[in-house]
Amino acid sequence: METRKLLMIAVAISITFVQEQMLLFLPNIQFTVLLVIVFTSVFTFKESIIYIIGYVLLDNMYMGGFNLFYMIPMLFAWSLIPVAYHTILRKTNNEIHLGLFAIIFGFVYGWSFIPFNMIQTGINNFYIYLKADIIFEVIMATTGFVTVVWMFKPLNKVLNTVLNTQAIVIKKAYK
Amino acid sequence: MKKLVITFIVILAAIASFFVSDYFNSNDYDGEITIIVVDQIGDTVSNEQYLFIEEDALFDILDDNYNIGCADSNYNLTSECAEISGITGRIILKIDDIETDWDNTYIAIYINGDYSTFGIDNIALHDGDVYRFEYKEVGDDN
Repeated sequence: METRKLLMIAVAISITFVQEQMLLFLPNIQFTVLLVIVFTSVFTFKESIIYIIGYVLLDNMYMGGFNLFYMIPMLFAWSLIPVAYHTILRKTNNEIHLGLFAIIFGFVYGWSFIPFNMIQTGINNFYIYLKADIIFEVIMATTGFVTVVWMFKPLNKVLNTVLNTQAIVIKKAYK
Repeated sequence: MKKLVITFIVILAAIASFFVSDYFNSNDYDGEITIIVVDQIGDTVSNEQYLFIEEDALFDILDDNYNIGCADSNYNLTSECAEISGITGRIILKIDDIETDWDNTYIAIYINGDYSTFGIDNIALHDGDVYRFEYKEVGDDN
């Protein structure tokens, strides 16, 4: 992998992590869904997965001391974005389609924690978790939709410009 | 324009879901509830009836009649329950002599024998309901 791409992934992880920490006081209101979708749209599948692993490791190291009951569902859920983007979404840049995906993702993200919470707490009633988390899933889905619909295009454009400009500069420097 | 309309619909649907959730989770006009407190060895240390009116909250009834402690933003026990109310609500870690640490132990809330899907600040008061606060270890079967 190129050093330029590695640096881009590092910057992407930093941006995602910092914004999440800054918005921690607002439950489930953050730009993480938007940022993961935006970075996935400019990274390859492999780069996206590296970015997500880096982000989840950093987040868990800082927040919860590598608790596997949180880390595994987080890794699984966030990885669904690059998987979906490169398969069912067919690398679309249509913000409405991506926004609708963000709505579904808001719910799927919450559901992915349920089996692990059931193991951890010993409370085996699936319905309890489904009902208890629904409001937070609605908040995450709404935030995801609004941010993706209004901010995906401009951010994607900026990132593509940055990547292309850097590529030209690097090529010229080598010549 | 299309984006604006869809955004408006999504936000409206989200707000409506909050109102619907709130509507189905409101207090009765008045009534009587029972609060049971169960300690770490499974003994009932308190079983009392309390009258309430529509404006009351379960937290306030508990706070008026028991010595309670809540979780702060780092999930440590604090007695400053009133000052840490937020969107996610308060978490009770202590009732009289029953103390929990959140990581390994917690106070489970049962409403009429069913495990509560809501926290203390979001539980509605219904006439005749029994609220049981029970010491639990994380990983215990409920």
